[in-house]
Amino acid sequence: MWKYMVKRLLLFVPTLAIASVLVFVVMRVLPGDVARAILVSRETPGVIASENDIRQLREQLGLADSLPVQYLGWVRGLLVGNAGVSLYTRRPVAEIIGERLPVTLHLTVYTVLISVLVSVPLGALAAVKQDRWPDHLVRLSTILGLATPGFWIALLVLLLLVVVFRWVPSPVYYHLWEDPKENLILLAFPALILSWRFSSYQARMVRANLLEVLRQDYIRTAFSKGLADRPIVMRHALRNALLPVLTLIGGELTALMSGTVILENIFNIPGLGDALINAMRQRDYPVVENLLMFYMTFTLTINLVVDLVYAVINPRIRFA
Amino acid sequence: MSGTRVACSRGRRAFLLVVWLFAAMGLSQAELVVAAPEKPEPGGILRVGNRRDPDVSDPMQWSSITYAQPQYNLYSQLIRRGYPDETTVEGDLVERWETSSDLRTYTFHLRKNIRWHDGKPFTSRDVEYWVQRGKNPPTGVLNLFKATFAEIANLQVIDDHTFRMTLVKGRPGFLFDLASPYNRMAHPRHLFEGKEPQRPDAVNYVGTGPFKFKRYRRGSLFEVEKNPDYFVPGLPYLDGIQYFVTQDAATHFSLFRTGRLDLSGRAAGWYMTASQIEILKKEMGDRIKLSSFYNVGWHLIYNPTFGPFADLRVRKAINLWMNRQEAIRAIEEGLGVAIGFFPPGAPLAQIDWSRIPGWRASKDADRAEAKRLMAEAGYKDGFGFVILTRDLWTRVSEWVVGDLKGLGINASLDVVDQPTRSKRNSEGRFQADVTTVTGVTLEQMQGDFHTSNTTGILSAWKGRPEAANVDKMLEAATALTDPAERRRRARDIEQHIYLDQALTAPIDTPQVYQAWLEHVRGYRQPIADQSVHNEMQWVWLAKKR
Repeated sequence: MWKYMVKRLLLFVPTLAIASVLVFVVMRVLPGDVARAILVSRETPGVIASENDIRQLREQLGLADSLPVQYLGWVRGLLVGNAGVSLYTRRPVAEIIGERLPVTLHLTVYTVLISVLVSVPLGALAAVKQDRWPDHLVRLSTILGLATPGFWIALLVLLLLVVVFRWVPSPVYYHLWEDPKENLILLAFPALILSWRFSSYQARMVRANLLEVLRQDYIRTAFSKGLADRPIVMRHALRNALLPVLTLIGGELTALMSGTVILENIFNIPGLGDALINAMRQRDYPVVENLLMFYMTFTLTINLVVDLVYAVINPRIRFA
Repeated sequence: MSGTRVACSRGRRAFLLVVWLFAAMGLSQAELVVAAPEKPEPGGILRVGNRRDPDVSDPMQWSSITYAQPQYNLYSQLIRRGYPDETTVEGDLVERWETSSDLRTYTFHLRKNIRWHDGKPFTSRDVEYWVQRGKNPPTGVLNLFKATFAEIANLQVIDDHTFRMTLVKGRPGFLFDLASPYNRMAHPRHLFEGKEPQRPDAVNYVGTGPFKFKRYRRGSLFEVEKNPDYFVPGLPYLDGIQYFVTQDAATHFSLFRTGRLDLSGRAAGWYMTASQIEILKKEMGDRIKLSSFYNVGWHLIYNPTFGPFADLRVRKAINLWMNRQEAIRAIEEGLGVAIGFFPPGAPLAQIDWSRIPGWRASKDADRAEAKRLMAEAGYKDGFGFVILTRDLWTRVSEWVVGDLKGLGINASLDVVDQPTRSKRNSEGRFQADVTTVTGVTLEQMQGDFHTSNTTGILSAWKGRPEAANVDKMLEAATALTDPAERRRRARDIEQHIYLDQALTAPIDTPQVYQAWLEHVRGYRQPIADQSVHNEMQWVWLAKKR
């Protein structure tokens, strides 16, 4: 297993290297010039920037160097733990990520918790009651969950809160350790909306796997020996049926880290997605590039962790 | 019995008379209360919406209302734009000033009781440092407003409360530019000199304004509290202001609609739309107040190197053809006006555009004339061209495309982001472009129309006689000091640009709406520039009834 882990970790290097080139090139070939974006604002009457001003600012921001030089500078910085600074605020990108990450992590953890707590019992119920009304109900709800875009539900929920209850959550975000009540109130709605989609995937997966396991010989033997239904399902069948769900949760974690952008906007949550959107809008290259690299590293790490946990849980799996 | 009845009746009448008299007295007292000016009630926290994060704290590096709106209250300025007429100036930190006859030398007298928020006195030395910093920003520090500072040749400190500014060249518009809301004093000499922060978010919020910095939760809240040592006794009335960061316009509206905001924020895209206003009126009735101003006007601008646009008849035809009333309906949901440059309410707005061919509601005669002009110019069957368009402004450009089809003009869009648009515009790499203009003074008009502005309305016309005339007219008008003459010239320039030469085609000017709850009093609205009158020292909250 150690050998496998080292091999996977070594694979990180070329993957991240290729990703870094792609991210860097894509950002730079996009039309637009951050120096011009900073200096030329039609919102501010009287601000008239000359081409000379724009050139000077470009030099100040380190954008006058050739692309390879800029790229190498960025990578060199990353290797020594310096992710650079925002072109707009000159704040270190690490500081921006450090500030936003806990917010998105809160939302992600809540979503995964709700999805697991909802999907496993529902999926099991649907499998056990196959082709009866609980199964139909679960399937209908999960199809709806998969087919309905999260942002649309979010807008409907917000509208419902406003029109019916004349209430929306406070626009101020507090961490769980600062104000648990406010934190839960603000994050409950987006977490519930996001978890509907993810629990739909999981519930369908649990149902399908459980149905397959329930048809296995060892389960049939257990039934024929006269064991009660509940222990067979809970102790023997469900445990095995849940293994693939673990992989799914890993994928969900990575999807949620980068996939909460719109909901963060709608519910006014200052997370990573919100930072990414703002940085892209402003062509703030260091912030965008480093955030994308962060997402990639996170995805690779989570995938590796899931694989390793999978092996620990399922002794039948051995790493080559 | 009857005597008793009579007595009762008399008594009743007397009683009714007394009641009536009291009622009448009460009524008249109530009327008097209503008619009398309300006495400001101190205290309370005002809650305001703010578009996105105000994460740049150095006013020299602000370029957006996003940063400015919440931070205006921290930092005062030497002089500020007047109220309600924002084309005038009035003292802020400065009590009075004298101007030399050649408009080159200004002697300013500061108020005597000004202190920075950290308790240190504010003196002429701070102004001297501010001007030096503005003229020569330290390495790595940007000054977006250095044009104003570049005009100052010398600043002489006479004493702690008096200083003299000498300009490179006298100019009537200098004080107006100095009073720009962006020229804020946020750089205490005792905190900055020798230890200049490199980060634009690193200014430590120490100003002299009516409110002091309290806390900033990035992405959520920027909060200020009353400055008890503010140099104007009795102000501010509020105990504090909370600016809520809203990432999304719909969320901003929901916050206002549910009473979480007392005042909606200023910023393009964040103003109340016609449908939102309708909802608010229906749901909140007289509990909300609305006011509007004209923020920016949309213009279709031409590049004369593209053949048809060099022809005056084509440009005039477009001006005549454009159905501006329809543009207001389609683009602005009915909230807008069809004008030239100066918006209604601006002292220099003089032309009654509702009667001008091309701007007036009745289109038949104007459209027939437009077709005749096109045929005369040799474009009977029209022509095609490309409109360079900022990605966020496509709704305006798309309307232009649709409207001009009837004139035989087949326009298409080249959608790009703002930096690209600005670059292409400055390099003259466009056939037509949709852009915005804003302002209430000749100086602001000069900023938009002088060909020296590389991204201005007439940048592509540089070197052409039509534009040279505009440059000359603007230069001559802005050199004048007589208000009546300036007013006359302003009218002439508008006439020349829009009607005689049709150098650009105004589309419409949206009327933007801000909403606030009924108990908010003393809030000041601008005529046209959203960055003006954001200060809240006069605002107070009436007890909710």
